[in-house]
Amino acid sequence: MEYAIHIVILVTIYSACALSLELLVGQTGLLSVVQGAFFGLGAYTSGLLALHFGIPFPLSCFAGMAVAALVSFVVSLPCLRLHDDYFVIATFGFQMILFSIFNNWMELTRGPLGIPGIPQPVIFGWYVDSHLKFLILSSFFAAIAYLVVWRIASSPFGRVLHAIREDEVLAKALGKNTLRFKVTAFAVSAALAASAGSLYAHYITYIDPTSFTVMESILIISMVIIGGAGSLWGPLIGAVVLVTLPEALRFLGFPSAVAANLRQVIYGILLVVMMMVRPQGLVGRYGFGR
Amino acid sequence: MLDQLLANGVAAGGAYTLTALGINVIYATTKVMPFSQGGIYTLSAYMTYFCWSHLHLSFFISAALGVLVSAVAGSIVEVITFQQFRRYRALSLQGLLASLGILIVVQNTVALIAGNEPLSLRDGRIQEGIQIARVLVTPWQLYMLALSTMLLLVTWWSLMRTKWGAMTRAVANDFSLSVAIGIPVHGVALFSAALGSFLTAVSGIAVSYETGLTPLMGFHALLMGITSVIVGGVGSILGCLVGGMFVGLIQNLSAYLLPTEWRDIVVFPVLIAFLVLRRRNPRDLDT
Repeated sequence: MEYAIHIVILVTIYSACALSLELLVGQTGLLSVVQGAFFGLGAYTSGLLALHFGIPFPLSCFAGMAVAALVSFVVSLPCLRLHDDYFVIATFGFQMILFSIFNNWMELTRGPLGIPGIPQPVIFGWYVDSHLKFLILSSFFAAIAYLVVWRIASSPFGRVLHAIREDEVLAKALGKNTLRFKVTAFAVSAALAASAGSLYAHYITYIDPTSFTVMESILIISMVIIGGAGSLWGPLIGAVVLVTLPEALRFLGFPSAVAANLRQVIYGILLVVMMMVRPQGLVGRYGFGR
Repeated sequence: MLDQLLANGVAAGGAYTLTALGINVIYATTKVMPFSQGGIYTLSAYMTYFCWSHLHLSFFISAALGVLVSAVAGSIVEVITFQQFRRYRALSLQGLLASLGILIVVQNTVALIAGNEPLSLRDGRIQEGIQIARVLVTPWQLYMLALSTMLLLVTWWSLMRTKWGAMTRAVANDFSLSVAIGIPVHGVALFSAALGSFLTAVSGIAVSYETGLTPLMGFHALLMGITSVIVGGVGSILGCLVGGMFVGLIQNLSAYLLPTEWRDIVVFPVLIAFLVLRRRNPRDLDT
């Protein structure tokens, strides 16, 4: 039972993360490969503040979101001048740079040694020290993420994002400062991903750079795309599929070293098949122009 | 020390030139950054290793088989994915994601079969380096440079002086018009895929002889290759050489200023800078 709750907690954390990327991929048409790094930024900021300065979870989470939003400006301003393939490659580059910072800045992040002993959240006296309590917390976060993305998507701001997705030149011709919209969406998305990251840090209580590599970014992209870009349910379904499917491998008796690679093979195959057969994903509405 | 770093940079540049050539040739016809080439790179090295260590064939026969298998694999990738995307005019992002998926599948399948530990293509004898001026190079580094230069010239010649090359350049320049004229675009693309995979495979096998094999080698080489392509200019053969050498030199010379663990990521700010600052073709409004 504890194991089942653990899986659901992971699903909710990754749902929040996938929803943050949906804002970029599904709503604005920006395929960003840097989300894993923002997830990590939230985790590291929140974890370090809580561990070294005893800052309570809500504050450290906000701090993580603020840091991620600030860093997102550094990333978005150069990248958002590029389009399609080149935008992807540029965000790829930033993901690698941020991962290297996590991995090599020993004084701050302890590099590959990771940060153990991150305290569990305490929210105004409520000790989140059991799986069930954490499930309540993470579901709450996922719901907030859903609400935020839904609110943005159905607002006039969201309509401009959709316009940018469909035809950016037209949106510009109609007088919209598309760069401003894209940068704002990027910052909101980074903050949401960071909130999921801080949840992750306080749940697992140990983080290391290997959880925030480019593969993590690709995993989050896969969740959005396989579930369906352009629809808010897509990332949720994607999170469910991509978190539970590899766990099912465990029950088939594969040793864990094999399972890690097999899990990636499954992600890759799903990605290729989806792109060939149904680029809008299972329940999505944006098929990259198809 | 500086001149040794320079020499290392040039040697690395040779390998990156080849990878960049492979990427450029395939990009010309698919118009998608072929991330799948990272998978082909890994496949070529591991195929060679398999022939050499399990079938006990000589290194050169193993290498030839590795290259052959890679060219076939690249062609298969072209037929089952890129050709389909070309047929129904999908956005390049679809192709990009699919090729990324292929890279992940190939890389991890190789890891499943051969394990995640590094492997070696050498039989254990330690070779002495050759002393040129004040710099130490290995014979293999010199072979690689010679091979890269030769293949660069061969690719240039075939793209500029053969009928097939003219057709490829036409497809790269304007796809719809090429179809309208009657150029067999899918055949041209297939040939490009085979050639590009051949080049990538040569690079992969050569590098793996020098530094061993790991499942992640293709991913790393791909990033260096893409950086070289962008630095040198997408679609330019000379650009592959310039870009490759530039990336190799930057990577190695950075060891002079930075601690070595930062060496690999020095390339990425360079990549981003070139992406943002490069001169753009005024016809490509959106790129």
